Amino acid sequence: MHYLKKIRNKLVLIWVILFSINAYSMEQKIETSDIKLDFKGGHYFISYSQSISLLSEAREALSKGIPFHFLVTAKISKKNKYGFKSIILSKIFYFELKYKSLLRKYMVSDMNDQKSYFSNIDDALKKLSYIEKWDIGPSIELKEGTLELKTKLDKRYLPKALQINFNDKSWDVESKIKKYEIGKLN
Amino acid sequence: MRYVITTVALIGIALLILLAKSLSNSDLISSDTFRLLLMFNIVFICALIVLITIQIARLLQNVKKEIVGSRLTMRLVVSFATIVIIPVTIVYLVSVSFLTKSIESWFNVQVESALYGGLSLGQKTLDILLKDVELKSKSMAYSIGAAEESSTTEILNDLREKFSIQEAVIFDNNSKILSVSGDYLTPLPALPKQQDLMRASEGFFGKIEEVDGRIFMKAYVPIPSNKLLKADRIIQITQPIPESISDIALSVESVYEEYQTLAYSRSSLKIIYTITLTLVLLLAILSAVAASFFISRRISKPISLLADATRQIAKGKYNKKIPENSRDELGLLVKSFNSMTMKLNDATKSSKKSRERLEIARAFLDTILTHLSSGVIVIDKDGMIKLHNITASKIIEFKKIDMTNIKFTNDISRNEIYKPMIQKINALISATKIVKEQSVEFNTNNKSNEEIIRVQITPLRSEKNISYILVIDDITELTKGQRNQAWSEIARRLAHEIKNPLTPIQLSAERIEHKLKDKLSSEDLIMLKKSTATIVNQVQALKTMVNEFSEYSRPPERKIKAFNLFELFENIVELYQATKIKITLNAPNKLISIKADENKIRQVIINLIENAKDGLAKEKNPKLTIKIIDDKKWITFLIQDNGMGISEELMGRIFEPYVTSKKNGTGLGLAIVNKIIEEHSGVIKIKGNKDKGTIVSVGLPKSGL
Repeated sequence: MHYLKKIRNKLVLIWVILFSINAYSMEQKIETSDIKLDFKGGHYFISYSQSISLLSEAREALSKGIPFHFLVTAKISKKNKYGFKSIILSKIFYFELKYKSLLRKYMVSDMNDQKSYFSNIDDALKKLSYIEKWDIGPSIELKEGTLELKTKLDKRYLPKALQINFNDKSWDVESKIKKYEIGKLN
Repeated sequence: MRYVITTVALIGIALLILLAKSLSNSDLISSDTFRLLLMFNIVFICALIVLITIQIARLLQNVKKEIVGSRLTMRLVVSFATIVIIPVTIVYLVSVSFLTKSIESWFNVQVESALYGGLSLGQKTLDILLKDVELKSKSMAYSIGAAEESSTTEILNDLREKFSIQEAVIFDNNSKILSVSGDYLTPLPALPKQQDLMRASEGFFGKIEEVDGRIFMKAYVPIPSNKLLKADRIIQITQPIPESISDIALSVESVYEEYQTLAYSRSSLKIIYTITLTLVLLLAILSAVAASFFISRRISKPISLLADATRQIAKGKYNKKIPENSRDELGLLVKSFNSMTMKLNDATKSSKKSRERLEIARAFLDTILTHLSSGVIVIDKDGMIKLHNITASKIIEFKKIDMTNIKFTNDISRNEIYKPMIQKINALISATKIVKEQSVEFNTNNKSNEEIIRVQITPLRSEKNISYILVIDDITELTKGQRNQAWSEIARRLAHEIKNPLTPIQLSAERIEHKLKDKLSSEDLIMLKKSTATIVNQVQALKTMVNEFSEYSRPPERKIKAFNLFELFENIVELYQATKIKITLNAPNKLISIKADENKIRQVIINLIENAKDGLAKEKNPKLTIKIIDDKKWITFLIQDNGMGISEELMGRIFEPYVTSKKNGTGLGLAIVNKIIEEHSGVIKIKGNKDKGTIVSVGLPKSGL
């Protein structure tokens, strides 16, 4: 009986930890939605909405001048006649979020290196909430295929100490890989 | 083990270098690689721990089994580990403390305040400059608003030059450029953002932006209009911050941000450096401990081998050789040990051979002494018997078979007759009269059985001690033989010298009687006959005696053939049927075959019966009993009478010539009998007490030899 009680206590503890991790990950994430794929002039253009949630620790790091580089990866693939996946298009781009201490403004640099300045972080994140017509490259128009989209904080641009502190999960800011069938999007 | 430790050390060093490298802001190693390295290091440490645990377990097992050298190895390992662990731990603790304090020292209040002050100064400067631009832009807006629209461009140029503004642009509410003025030719000024214009329509709006590494101020002011209540034009002023100020401000900002970044990541830095240092410590300690096993074994191996070899030598295995692998002091020790064991082995082999030779010699001596017909006794200076052989114990009739380490006294012999001899020997030894070899003969004065013993005493000197070797010989038979030989020679000469004149004497006496018998008177004739008869009788007696002498001295000659001894006895006994002696013949059967010279045996039997007959002459009821005993190899016959017997004085010399109890006997009868029996390799014994009869026992081998 004593051992059963012990096991039960352990199970409760594990559940609490898992719940905490889940709650933690719910706060610290990037959500992408409203994806739209256009084919124009032999190029595919992607438009989507995203919501970036940052923890207070990340916000504090940002306010200390640590730049956040977000890496967006887009891939278009289709299955070949053997059933294997074949990458048709692959494109990455960065957008940067940084606090300029001198100007006391948050600076957002988009994929075209256009800089915008904001007095608070929420306005800056709002600026990043919609990506419009991102040219992901030339291609033939596909009737079917899969678009994979992922956005994540590129930790290589963080200070080394933060990069390698394996115990710190504050910098695991990323979206899940979103997959969309091209036929349905069109 | 050597290769494992080398590999482990190399991997450990490589991992540590990579780990240290990854701490710098190098792009060589990413965070993922660092984690991988960290995991590798941890796995590596775990592997080292497992390796060391196995080594410790094996070492403890060896200690438990008391394997030579294991304790020394354990002591060395503990010593090495202690030598490594204590200083490395101290260095580790000091390093961690130093590192933590060093990291903390980077971020002191003064530096932070100075940096913040510099940044604030920059911010204030920008604020002042923006304020200045605000005033200028407002002044320009009022001036342009008050003037005619046709002269707007002219006034704009004048005012821009007057206020030293880089660029001034007038837009309408729809962002349409109405007028432009700049100190350089701008093909198309950058259009303002809609929200900026919207904010500017409500009053002054200024902002500072960084463009291509330079800071620009932009001011938006609505131009007042007399016609309308609401302003329909907005002037945009763009003025860069002076380059000198801009550079300094940006530099201060950069340093401040770096400082802030470092300050923010200091806890992570502490953790990472502490982890790295801990891994270094663990790797160093564990590698050192693992290496200590190898080094300890290497150091203790020759000593273990030496100890093992010493044990082997203690067990008597002198051919143990230790491999000479090193040239250091231990190697020298091993070399010396090998040399020593080799010499020891040679010496042992030599000693063993000597011992074997000694054993062989001793065995040989024992065999000689055992089979020696002479008795040998070795006596030390204190008179203790150190060695003797069986013959000595038989001759002197020791009380025990082994009389070693017993004093050579009268008590050692069972027989009283040897005591005078022992006393004499002791007297000679104790008087230290014996300087060189000395021979003494003793007659035991045994009346029934004469015994002559010769003792040869030889002193044996060694350093301060002196021992005596007594060689004891029973020379009774030798003496008797010599005596018999002498008698035989005398008999032979007597026979030769006496026999020849006897016949002429007898013939001369007979002739005298024959010649004179008719010429003499009856009285003279009677005297003559009496005298000649006496001469003839005495000559006859002399002839008999001479014949007996001849018989005694004749060379041994036998005609061996098989015959029935019982039949021989029957024939001889029949000759004595006419006498008054009652003769009884007892035999197991009537056919007792024996190989011998029948005539000689007949002579022996007759001689013995005649002796018995002489002994029974005065006996009223004479009896003679003959008993034949047939053994497997021997035939013994006993001739027993109830006559006068033999005196004790004669018994010892009964077989010697001229020893007789009879008045007319020559004393050669028993001597001849003894000679014949000896020639047949037989044995004759006589047992007789005065007036109690005599028993003669004769034993003959069946085979005749």
